Order: sequence, then C-alpha cells, then structure tokens
Amino acid sequence: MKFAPKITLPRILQYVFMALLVAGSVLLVLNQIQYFGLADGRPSITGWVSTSDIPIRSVSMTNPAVNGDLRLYNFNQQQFLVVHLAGRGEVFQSKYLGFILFKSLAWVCGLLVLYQMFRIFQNLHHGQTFREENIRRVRYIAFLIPAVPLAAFLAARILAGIVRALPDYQSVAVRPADSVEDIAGGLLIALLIFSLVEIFQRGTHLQQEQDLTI
Amino acid sequence: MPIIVNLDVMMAKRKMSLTELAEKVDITLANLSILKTGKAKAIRFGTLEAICAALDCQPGDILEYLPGNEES
Repeated sequence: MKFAPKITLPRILQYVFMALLVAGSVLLVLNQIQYFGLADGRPSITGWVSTSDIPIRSVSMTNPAVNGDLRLYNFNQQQFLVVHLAGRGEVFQSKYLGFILFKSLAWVCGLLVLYQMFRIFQNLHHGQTFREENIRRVRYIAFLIPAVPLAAFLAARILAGIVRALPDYQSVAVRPADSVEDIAGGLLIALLIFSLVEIFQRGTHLQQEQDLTI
Repeated sequence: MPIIVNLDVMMAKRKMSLTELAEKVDITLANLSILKTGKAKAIRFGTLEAICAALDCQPGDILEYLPGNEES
C-alpha cells in the first residue's frame, strides 16, 4: 500500500511561504549584487520617486488668516530610477550606504515575517496550534510588520534626496514614492496582530489546562 | 497547589504498580505519571471513579487539601 501525504491548507501555505522566502532571499542577494556592482563593476541604486515638473496651477487663498498664493503640485508622476554610480568607492558615501542599509533592512524584515509565517504553518500542520512557540512567532511578526514600511520610507526619502541633487532634477519637485500612511497602516496591522496574540495566549492557557487534565 | 495527590501512598498500600493501575483505569502511563507527580491541573470525575474502583478506596484517600502549599 502506498503512503499518500495528506494535503492540508496549512501544508499548502507552508510551501507558499517557503517559496516566497526563497524568492525574496534571491532578490535580496541580486539587489546587493546590483548595489555594489559585483556582477559588472557598475554599482547602481534603483527605486521609485514621485516627481512634479511644475505647479499645475496657482490659486489665491481665500483663507483670511494667510493670504498668498497656494501652489498645487501634481505628484502623480511615479518614476522608476536607476542611478549609476561612478565607481565602487562611491557606494560607501553615507547617502548611498544609508539607502542600501534601509532598503535591505526592509527586505530582511519582510523575509523574517515570511520565515515566521512558514514556521507557524509548519507547527499548524503538525497539529500544534496553541503553543508558546507560535505566540512568540506571532509577536515577532507584530514587531516586524511596521518595520518594513518604516525602513522602506526612510530609504525612499534618502533616494528622493539623492535624486533632488541630480543636475536634471534641479527644477523638479521630488518626493519619496512611499508615504507616511504606509507606516501608519503597518502600525495598525501590528496592533491587530497584538490583539490576536492576546487571544492566542488565552487559547494556549486553555490548551495547557486541557493537556494537564487527567 | 494546596491539593496533594497521594496516589503513590494508596498504590503502595494496595501493592499495585503504575503499569497495572494504568491498565485497570485505562489511561496512559504518561497521564497517570502526571497525576502521581502532582503536575496535573484537574482530574475528571470519570478518572477519579476508575482509580477509586481499581484501588478500592475513597477520593479522600487519594486527594488531600494542605493549606499554604502554594509553591507549585
């Protein structure tokens, strides 16, 4: 008789998170190769910025407290930029290094979230739901989730600063593509996860009592 | 916990081993061991009834309340 492995939803999700983890790790390594120019000797950094060439219109402010021109900018022009650096030595300037550091930090935090999810679903597949280990992992996720948009936002701010200093962009208004709202969203998700941790903790307590009831 | 399990005392009185009691009560050796070492948080009436029947004793012979014993 042939043994057929049982396919369950936790098992499927475990493989999905493992695949995402592997793909993310490969992309992280490829990013580092690109940043430091390890493949072709031409280091470069890439990312999105929001730009606006000119104010789309000027209007007079009707607010009596502050009179003057209100300038409205259309920042809908999302641009993907590749900034080639002169040499490998330039990468170690603080602004480039800062960008690489925060961008990589966002990736690492994201990968750690995926790893924790992978381990949680591995435990769920083995029928270990209400366990202290799972609570610890869910708590890690709650801490890591807001760190991803925060690090990405800081990297985007540094990139916007780099782009502003470029000769072609002197007369262009540049803003980071990532917004502060993403960080707020991350914090909200973290709060929701912390609420789930509390429920999980009570479940674990009940499970422990059940296990020690003879 | 202030509740003390005197299962080992009753088993010694009846000269019954843990394995023998586990077979008679129909619970695992591991669970009986948890009960005997006082690690258990609760005991079902069904289990208590089976143990009392196997050891021919009263629940009070197995369980004892000791006030002030709060460390575990």
